Amino acid sequence: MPSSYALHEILYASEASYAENVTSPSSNTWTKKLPILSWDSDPPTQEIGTDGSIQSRSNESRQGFKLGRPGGEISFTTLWPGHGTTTAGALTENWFQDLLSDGLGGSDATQVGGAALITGVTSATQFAQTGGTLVNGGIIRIGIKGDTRGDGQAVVVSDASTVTLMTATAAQVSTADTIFAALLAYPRETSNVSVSKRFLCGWTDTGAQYHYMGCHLSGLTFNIPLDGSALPTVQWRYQYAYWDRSAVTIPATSLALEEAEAAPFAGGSVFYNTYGTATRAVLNPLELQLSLDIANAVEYAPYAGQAADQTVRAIHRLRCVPTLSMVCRWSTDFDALFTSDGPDTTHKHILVTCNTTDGRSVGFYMPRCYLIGGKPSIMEHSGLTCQRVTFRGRESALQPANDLGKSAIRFFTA
Amino acid sequence: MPLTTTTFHAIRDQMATKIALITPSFVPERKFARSKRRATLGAWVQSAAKGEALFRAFEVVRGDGEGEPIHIDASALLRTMAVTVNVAYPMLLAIYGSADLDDVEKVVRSDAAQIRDVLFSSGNYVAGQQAAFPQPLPEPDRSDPDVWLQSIPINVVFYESETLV
Repeated sequence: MPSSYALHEILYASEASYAENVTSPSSNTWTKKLPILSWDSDPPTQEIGTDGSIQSRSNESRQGFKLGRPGGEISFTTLWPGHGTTTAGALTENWFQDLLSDGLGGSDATQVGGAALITGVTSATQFAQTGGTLVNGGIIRIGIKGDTRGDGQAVVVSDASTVTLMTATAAQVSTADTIFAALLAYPRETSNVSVSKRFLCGWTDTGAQYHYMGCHLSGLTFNIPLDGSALPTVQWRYQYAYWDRSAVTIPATSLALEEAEAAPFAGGSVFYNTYGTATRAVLNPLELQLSLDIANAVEYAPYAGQAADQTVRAIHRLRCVPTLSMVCRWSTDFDALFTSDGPDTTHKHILVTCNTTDGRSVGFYMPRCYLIGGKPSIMEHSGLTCQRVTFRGRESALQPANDLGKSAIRFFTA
Repeated sequence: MPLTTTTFHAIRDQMATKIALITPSFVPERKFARSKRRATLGAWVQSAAKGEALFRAFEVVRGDGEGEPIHIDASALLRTMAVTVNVAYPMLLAIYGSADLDDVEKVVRSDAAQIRDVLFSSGNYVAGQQAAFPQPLPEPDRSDPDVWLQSIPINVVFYESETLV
């Protein structure tokens, strides 16, 4: 008897080499079981049609040959989880960071937070600390919600040695305030060979276990409800090179379901100011949606090694362009952004902190972005006069001059 | 790290603990007190003496309606459960201030706002709980002229364990 369609699970692992087991999916091993909310698979690009030959009778036809390669796209949706445990100390990479950083190319899990690390405070954009580990271009959170200083919000560190911030706190922090570290994921261009993944989507029916191999992140959409009715979610899209069925036992008892502690967007903030200006200013959008346009390139070779006639050697990341769409209260400010175009463009930087709960805090930073799309006009949202504004991220020219400092978007998990 | 699941009763007890810690904006000397009798709050207030002991007595119970759970895998699901906090307000008007019904309404409304804020705050969740979304607040049940009951509906989202094969 077939089982319930809902009774399925997704496992994944990093591939040691691109599409390594396409000829032997039974060799696939798995390292983590994902806490997914939903799953979808586009029809594979390989298909069979009719052969098109003329027949003696009009209603007669013949099956043709299968065409195309057995690749396609899978997608799944998860909650947007935080670190899971306190970040007032060292960090542990979780599945979210693993997928996100391998997909984008850049990862940093070296930051270390803690209590009583702040030894002196100069201003709302600078303080001294000892005992913690911060990185240039990194993101941390300071204090707790309601303390009127750091307020538990995220800030961006320009120079870790002097702890100079690109985004000021609401007021000078105190030596009593705790620094919360954050896992960082960001696009990386200095080494753009993508770490490929493999996924197993398995149902309990014997043989209904689908192996997707040679997978590369091809798109991300973050839905961030602000109306207190739903949780932030992430839709992951992966291009796969090959799929096959190979029977494994589902449920996979050897792997525990991974942690995913999330929280609504509440108590957070949307820092918004002119590029290069650290003064704290905030927007209060009614709606937020972030999407990443990710492009990959295929590197071909006469013989790539995994299968007899395999010619795809690797996948390279080409582009990762963030687009942030917001519905904000109506204002003439956005008109002015539309007016200053071309070389006169006024750039902004935007830092979003979804919530301030230790272990559940997530968000992102776009260090340099500009208005795109139609001229902001007027629309109704929740009965209010509003505007939809869309910002495209571009690389920062500020320090540090490395992939993290340049990255058009960087995510934090704290 | 494996997924943490929880249960309705763990969330209920946490909610009750957090509500009991609230310092009300009005009449702050009288805090919320969980009713743990062998009867629902509504039944108890009908039979109890209509004294000050009823003031801000509350219970946390399952509410009406529940969304379709999302199966994460065979061991866990993400459940959205309707939970209701009921709070009793005896019509002893002197408790509320200037002894008219407007003051009662003011206290009831303010209490509900504080309870909703405390329960919504993710810092007050138990591990495995993902959200507590306040729902539209109904008007107080004034059918008993001696005791009003204010129900505060909340939709709680949490991981719950299951064992399917």
